[in-house]
Amino acid sequence: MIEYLFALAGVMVMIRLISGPSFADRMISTGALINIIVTIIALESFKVGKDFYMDIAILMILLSLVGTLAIVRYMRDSDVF
Amino acid sequence: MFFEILSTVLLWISGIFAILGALGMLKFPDIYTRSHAATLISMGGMSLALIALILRAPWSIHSAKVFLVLIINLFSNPTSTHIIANTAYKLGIKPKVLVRNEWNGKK
Repeated sequence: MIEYLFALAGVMVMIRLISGPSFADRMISTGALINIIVTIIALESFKVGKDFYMDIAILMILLSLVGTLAIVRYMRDSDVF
Repeated sequence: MFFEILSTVLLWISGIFAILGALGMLKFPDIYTRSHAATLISMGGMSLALIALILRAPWSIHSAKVFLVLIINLFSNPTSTHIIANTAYKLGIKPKVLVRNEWNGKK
């Protein structure tokens, strides 16, 4: 039942992801959408009862950080941090 | 039995937090305020739901993996939000609801 609430939140975030004015809105929306997807994967893993679904969640949350830092580092000129 | 009831209550609160954060993502006027809404989704929605799932089956390999995702999220989400907002300011996106600006863009 909680998955449907998170799915509705994901649809509303995806509207902002499509119609964001700048790239920063799209990066924020991508991070929020990946967080929602990881939460839905965790809920589904506890419903089914298998623990290898969480490996997918760990990979997604790590690749979210790496991808966000790579794209933002590309958009900016130089001297990050 | 107590952990089951506490887990269900925390799951419902996390779902309400996710809906409120998504409404904020739709209705807020600016990137700097939308980052607050995204943090509401991440912390209030995801971390609370993962804590509730850890309470569902404590001391197992399943909840250890959920705990690993929770710790990684607590470190990675402020980093990415800070670097996105800093880059947006540096590329010239001005805040719309700003009262007084005390930072001139230099380090």
